[in-house]
Amino acid sequence: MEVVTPLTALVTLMMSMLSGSLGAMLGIGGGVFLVPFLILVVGLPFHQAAAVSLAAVIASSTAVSAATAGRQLINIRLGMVLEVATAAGGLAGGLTALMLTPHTLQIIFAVVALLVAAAVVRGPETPPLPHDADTGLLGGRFTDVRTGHTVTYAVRRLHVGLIASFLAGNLSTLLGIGGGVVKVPVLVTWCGIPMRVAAATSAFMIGVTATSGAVIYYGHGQMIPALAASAVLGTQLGSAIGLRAAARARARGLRMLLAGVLVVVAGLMVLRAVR
Amino acid sequence: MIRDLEHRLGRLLTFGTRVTTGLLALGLAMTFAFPASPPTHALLTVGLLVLLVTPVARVVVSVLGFVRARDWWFALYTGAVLALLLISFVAAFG
Repeated sequence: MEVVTPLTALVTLMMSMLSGSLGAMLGIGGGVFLVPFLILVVGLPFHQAAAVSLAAVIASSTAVSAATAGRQLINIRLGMVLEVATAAGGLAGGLTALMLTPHTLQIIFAVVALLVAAAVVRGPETPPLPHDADTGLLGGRFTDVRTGHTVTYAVRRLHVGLIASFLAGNLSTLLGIGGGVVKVPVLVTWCGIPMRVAAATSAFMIGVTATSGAVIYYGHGQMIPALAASAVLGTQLGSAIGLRAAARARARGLRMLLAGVLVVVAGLMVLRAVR
Repeated sequence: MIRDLEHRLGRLLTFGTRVTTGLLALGLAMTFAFPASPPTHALLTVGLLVLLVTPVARVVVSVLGFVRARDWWFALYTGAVLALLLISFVAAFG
């Protein structure tokens, strides 16, 4: 699979556009869709699929954050605190791989994804804060582009966010994903973070998470340059589309889309586990 | 201070995205026109390296922003993220 045909490049570009636009709307890189696509449709071995997928995750993170920076949506402080846990999770990924077979890991992931999807549908437990409320060191305020209202939030249960970030880092190495699909639902459901802030903050961090894995794969010659280029370009196009759609969508609509994505991801994991 | 940092990061990431897009689009077109030619290889390699280095630059700019604001705890957290990133570069290319 070293020779990339124009058809393979085109199909990869179009699939990346799709995963990139979903990723931009929800703050996930889209790796959860790209990895199974590259394995099942393009026929890549896992490591090469993960390498291309991680390149696309970085492209998504950079393009989305370039567009959202300056709109008070990216919580850099929260992102950096969570990223420390994610990086630690990444380092511990090797240990997890020793304890669990990929098969077991995928089944556990599927079950957890379904449970989290149910929690996302039920909605966040935190009522909105009054405008003059104390946001704490990690909270903040932003103006919702769709409604024009100022939303004030504070971070609750930081430990839950840290645990989710650790797991996200752990899975990133093992599954070739950025981990946003783990972080965003947890931040929204249990940590009091508004959907748009969770998406923008996750988008900001997944590029950093994915870079550790991507350089390792690159250094080991697993990155197919032309295919990675197709995935990156498709993701950049998709990000522009997804960002426009997200600005028009209701926060609740985005949450429902996220729940739908989790159910599909659970299905894909089961498919990979039984295959 | 965090607003300034956000704007600086925005400019950096826009620049990174444009350079990556330009190099990779040209490189991909060249792949089909002149497969396995040295310029094709160079465009794709440099494009991918810019892609990989942009997140590192983002963390470096964040560390400097927190240091400038004398926000030591966040400079420490961000510095730890940077250190772990650099370890993976050393592991990959060292």
